[in-house]
Amino acid sequence: MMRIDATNITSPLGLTTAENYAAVKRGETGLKVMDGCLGVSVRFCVGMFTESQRAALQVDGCSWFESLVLHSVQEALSHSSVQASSPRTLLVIGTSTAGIEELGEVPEKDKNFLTPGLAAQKVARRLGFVTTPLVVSNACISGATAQMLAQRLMEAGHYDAAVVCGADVLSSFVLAGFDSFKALSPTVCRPFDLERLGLNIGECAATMVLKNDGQGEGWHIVDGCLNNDAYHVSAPIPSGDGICRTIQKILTPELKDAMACVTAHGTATMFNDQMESKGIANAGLGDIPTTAYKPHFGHTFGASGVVEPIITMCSLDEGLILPVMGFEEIGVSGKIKVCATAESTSKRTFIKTQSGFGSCNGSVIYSRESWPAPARVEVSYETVRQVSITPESLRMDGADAPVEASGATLVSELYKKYLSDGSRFFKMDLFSRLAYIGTGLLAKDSLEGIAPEDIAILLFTVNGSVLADRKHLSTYTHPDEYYPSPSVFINTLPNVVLGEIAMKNTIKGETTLVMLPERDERLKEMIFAATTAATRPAAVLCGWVDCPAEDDFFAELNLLKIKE
Amino acid sequence: MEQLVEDIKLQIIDALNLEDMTPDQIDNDAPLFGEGLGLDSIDALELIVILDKCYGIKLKSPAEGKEVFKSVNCIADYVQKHRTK
Repeated sequence: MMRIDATNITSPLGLTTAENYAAVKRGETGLKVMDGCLGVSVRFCVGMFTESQRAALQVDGCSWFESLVLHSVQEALSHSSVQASSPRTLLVIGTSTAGIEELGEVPEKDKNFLTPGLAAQKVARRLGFVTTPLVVSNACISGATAQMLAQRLMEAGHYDAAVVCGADVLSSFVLAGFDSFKALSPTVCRPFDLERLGLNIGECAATMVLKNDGQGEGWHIVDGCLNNDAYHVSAPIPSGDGICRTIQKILTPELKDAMACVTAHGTATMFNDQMESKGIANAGLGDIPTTAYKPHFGHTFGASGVVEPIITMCSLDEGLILPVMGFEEIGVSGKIKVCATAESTSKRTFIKTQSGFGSCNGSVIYSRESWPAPARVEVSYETVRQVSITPESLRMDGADAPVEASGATLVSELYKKYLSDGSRFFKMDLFSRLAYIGTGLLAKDSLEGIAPEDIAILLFTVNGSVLADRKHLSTYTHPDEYYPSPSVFINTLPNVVLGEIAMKNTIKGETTLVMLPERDERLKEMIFAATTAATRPAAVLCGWVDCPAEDDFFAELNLLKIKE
Repeated sequence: MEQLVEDIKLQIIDALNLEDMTPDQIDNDAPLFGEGLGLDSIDALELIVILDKCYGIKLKSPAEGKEVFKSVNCIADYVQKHRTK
């Protein structure tokens, strides 16, 4: 049983879980309207730390992102017997952008810039961890993905404890990007309400210390499910099919009876809330109170899947379901029961839902009661196809294929020669193009007869979307030339390509991007085995894609199929 | 007007990375979304950026651009009437 031994929330509302819960319960918000913010001169309503809070939290020699993670993890560990320094303790960070802003300070040719994996490494060493930290970048479902990854690696026996930290910080990078998406609310957001105007961005780090000790009182993770709806990289599927399937997969009739509430994603964008209401209702949870906390914290991306369940744990410990602040009139068509005023309950089980860019969805069930552990059977897979791409070559199933061009042009050549499917290929950054063409070559004529829900993607990278990150930086940093581009910004989320691949090949299973400090085959194999033991997909597109520069990249991808 | 239509087409091709496409392949009256060029919601946002960057026109949301972005001719008409640069 994956017990939650200790938690922390570090947000503008407070620096501990207790402070944050008390503020949420009192109906406070960390969101403020600001005319211009971090050099972006647009009116925003954001959840940002004050200057004095920032000064108090900032750690010398660390980026703001790292400082926030350091504080949250350290404070959580101070309430736990878990030792960071044990070789059996893991650190997993869920983030959509990490300390991306720092890139602006780093010369383009410097290969040692702070990738999310290296930032995690730095934080891990400062805290005394001796194991390699893992970073998952699955946009808004990074928090759930990080918890699932930690849970599975512990179940597989690799670790006894895991510290899961979800964190994202406010930066002009993110503000300019979301400004270009026209999805930001100028006032405090109102999830599920008729008058909702969009989302607010917030910064936060939240931590759960997980222990696999099969005993002890307290909250634990019962089960979780992640998937892809293969609909669109930035628009949620109107039917809510993806989130509905994640709930159905883990919800038993007994769990449903025990369920106190749904802690929804509730971003307050037109499309998310509409989609989510349908997903929740269609999964059979429309008669259970639905709550959401974005009016208190804003959308904290990688942190949201950690901070929001922690708040519900605190409220259910007091027998309370907290309302959606600011909610007045239902503005979604899915039949759900939005919690408008605080309700009391004796139930101690709930579900957290989340969906994000890259068409990914995730649900996790938490409980204070004891439930049978989900089945985990290690299954074997065989590699049925292989593709490797370098700036000079293409190898398919062990044989060199003829190529004409080299470098980035080679990737376009491969697309025109082998796929040319009229997709958004030319709108992708090089990292995405590489992953798209590599997986496309593997999947071609190889996935027939397999249900879309039974196919998964598990990609590993070191540098992720760094080229798109640099490009996005160049679109807004000059005040007279402030034209952030939505199609460039979307590529700065490295998991967006998973959505592109899922759409192209009709893949609706779990799709995850793991970022490591350096290439590490042992960790890749370990994560693959633990993930497939929990999810047992019939086929997996798995491997490395890395692209530190236009002329320096590789993809090494395999299609693996389950052995009967 | 002809020059403006040509400029807008080039700006669209450039901003939306419509690889291998030339201005004469874009029909002045063909719908840009759905059929025709087959643009999507992110492209609509990108068109908003083009109007701002090239012509100083600020649209608040894709909804506001719905009529404007019907075809290249519609965009050209709108630009001619509202441009500030």
